Amino acid sequence: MKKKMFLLMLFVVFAAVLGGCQDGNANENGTEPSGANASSENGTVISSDDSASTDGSPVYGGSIVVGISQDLDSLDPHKVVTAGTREVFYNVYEGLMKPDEDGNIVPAVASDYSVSDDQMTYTFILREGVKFHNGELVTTDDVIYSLKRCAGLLETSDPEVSIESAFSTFTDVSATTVDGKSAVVIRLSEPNTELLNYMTTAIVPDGYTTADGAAPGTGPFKFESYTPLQSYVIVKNDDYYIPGVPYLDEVTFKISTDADAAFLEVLSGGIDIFPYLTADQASQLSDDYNVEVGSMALVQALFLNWNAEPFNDINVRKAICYAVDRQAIIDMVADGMGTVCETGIFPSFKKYYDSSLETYYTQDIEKAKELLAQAGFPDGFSMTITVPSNYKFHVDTAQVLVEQLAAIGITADIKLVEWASWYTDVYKARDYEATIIGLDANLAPSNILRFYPSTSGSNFMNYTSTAFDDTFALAVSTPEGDEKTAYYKQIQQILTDEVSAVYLQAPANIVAVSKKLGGYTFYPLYVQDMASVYYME
Amino acid sequence: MKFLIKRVITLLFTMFLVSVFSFVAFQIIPGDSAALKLGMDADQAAIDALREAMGLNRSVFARFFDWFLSAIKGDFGTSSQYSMSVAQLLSKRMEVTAWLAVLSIAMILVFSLILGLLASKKENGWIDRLITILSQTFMSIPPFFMGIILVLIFGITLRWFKTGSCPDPAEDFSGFLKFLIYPAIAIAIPKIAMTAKFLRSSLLREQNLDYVRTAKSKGSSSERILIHHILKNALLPVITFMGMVIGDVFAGSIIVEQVFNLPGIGKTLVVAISNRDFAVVQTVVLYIAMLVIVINFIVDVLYQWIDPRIKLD
Repeated sequence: MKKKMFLLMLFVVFAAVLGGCQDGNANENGTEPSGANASSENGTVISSDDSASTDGSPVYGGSIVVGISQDLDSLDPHKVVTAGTREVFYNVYEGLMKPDEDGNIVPAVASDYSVSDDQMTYTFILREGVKFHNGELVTTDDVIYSLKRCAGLLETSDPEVSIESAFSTFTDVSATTVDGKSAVVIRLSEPNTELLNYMTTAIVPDGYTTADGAAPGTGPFKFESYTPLQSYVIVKNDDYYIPGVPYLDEVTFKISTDADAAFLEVLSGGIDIFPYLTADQASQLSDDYNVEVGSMALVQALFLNWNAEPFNDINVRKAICYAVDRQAIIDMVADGMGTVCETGIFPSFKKYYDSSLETYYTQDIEKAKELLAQAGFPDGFSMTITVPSNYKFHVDTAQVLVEQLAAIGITADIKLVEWASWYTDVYKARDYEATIIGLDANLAPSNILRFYPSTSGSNFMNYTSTAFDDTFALAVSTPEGDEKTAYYKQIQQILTDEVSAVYLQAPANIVAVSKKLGGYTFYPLYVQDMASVYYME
Repeated sequence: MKFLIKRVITLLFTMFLVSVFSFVAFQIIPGDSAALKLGMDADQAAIDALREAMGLNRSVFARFFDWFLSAIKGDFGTSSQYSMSVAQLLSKRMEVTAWLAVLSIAMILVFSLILGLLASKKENGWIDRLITILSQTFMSIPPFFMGIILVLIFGITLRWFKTGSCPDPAEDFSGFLKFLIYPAIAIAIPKIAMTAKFLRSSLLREQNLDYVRTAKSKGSSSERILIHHILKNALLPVITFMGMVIGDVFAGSIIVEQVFNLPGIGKTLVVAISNRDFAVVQTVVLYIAMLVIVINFIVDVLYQWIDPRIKLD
């Protein structure tokens, strides 16, 4: 009898443990409908208690911790390739030009510039008195060295430096004087109307190599220390050329490569600012944080391999477009935060973005089925969507898409792969059927479209369209103005109409900001600007 | 002496095999560290140039033996992601993982001994039953889950420690150890449960043997019998088991380091694999393999020390 009781107790314990596990799973998968809804244009505070919003008067000093989910690529700004490192280095390094929060390109190390009428000679006048963090003045030699290094024009080149393809037309970079001020002249072999957007390349001292350690920059903060896998610490640059900037004395970027562990750190109060939260995480934040919502500066799409059957058939691609309910995806994966986007350029490109395309393919199951039948698949087919598993957002999107595609008879399987595998097999070898990813860019519209020219090495969807290639060449060579804008709008029409990809959304960037802080600013590209952040009275 | 030489040779041979296996695995998985380093916009010419500079274009054998020979000499190469020597990158991280392992092993030893002795004192008594039920429960909790629970309770609710903010051992050693207690508990709990259960049944088995009765009839006190006779014999299988547990502790630390965001070698290993950082991965794998082998060697020596009847060669 006693023994039976004992066994029973053991069984109860087992059941409790197993049951506990199940409960945990259920909670993780279930999406809680929350009242938090906000438009994602320019940073809306949606915290329930936003009495202490961003209006408190700023005080100088203090240090903060910012959570980042990727380790740095390199301490050499010319070797940086990931958006995650670029957005941190924005605080430390500056180019001749610099992007601002409205999407304009403004002078930084340069104080002024001029472009020749043929768009082949660019002259930049250096700002007077700009100092590197090591105390030395920035000279034309430093600028020439930095630009040549990124153009691959130095005599001894370091193969790890990432060469800026927009600099491939440089014929000469030289020093000159304009009205008695030092200046740098760049001559090109062919016109480039969008070069200014690429002049954000960091200026480092003449002769700098990676072996010298972290490069001295000219930004509002200077490098203090870096511990791999742990932290990157920057401190205030007292000599910054804009007086009164920055507010903070010290910023620690804390690296947490595991997204879940990182969020636990936010919950335990160890982090003051944490970008790229999921909607689900945002709803779990304590009262110590405001939730701010901006745009992520990328376009998320289901990319189909044009060389793979049956996606070479435009009717199949169109059928998929009509099967998808984009708003439903945004509601499911991001609690409604995000903007429907149906073309290759995302809404942050305010001047060029064509918002009329947002309703080009509205969900229409009957029409989708009809198109599939025309293509010879009246009963649908099966396909595989390869998704990089480190991007939970894309994985969640894939799960919703699978359901939506099932409605027109397409059986989609999700294949999760590691990032390195995705990069090699999908992006480089183009060996896949469909994939979900987000494409990002700098402020040049030609930059986000670099994936589509039929000869481009980045054209992983094997998109081939003479209409696109011709119009793109015209758009790039036309100087800024109505004509250029018209060409880019035409290109978006082509990309959508030919279904270069099944575009889904411009995702929202949800950021947790401590209520003690103000001034957090969203940029239309990957930037975490700490110079604008301050403690409030 | 002969035994020692034999052991060292086995150690070297095993480590060679382990590095061959991890090298082969690295060749099979897709991903190219040169291409990853240059990012999505790099053209093929640039990637080829970097591959050449990194020596990735040489034959598989050349690359492996180059690495292995310099590793024997103590040069473990350069991390492709961090552009610093592997030794420099790992030395601080090894310290973190080593202390984590030491703490959890100490916990396992102390608590399983106490619990095992308590449970075996009166078979089927209420203490024994309670311990059995608890150990049955806790041995089925994986360390990462236990870790998350600990973070939730002590890090987020009680705020006894700041998750992910592990102090630097060089600056604040006691703070560092205090922080490590939580991940160490997460690793130790399932192992304490297993070891205690193992020790209990081993003790109970020995208690019923003839030599215990003989000792009793000679008039020895039961404490003396327990410590000098029963425990000594009962520990033998437990020590073998501990050898395995210690290997598991290192495996567990890899995952627990992720949960607590500890800068140890486990975390480094995971990041290095996803960046295809070959030199780092090889060195970490080799280091863990070496630890497991050395620990097993220590187990063998302990064995003989406790029971001189066992001959090592």
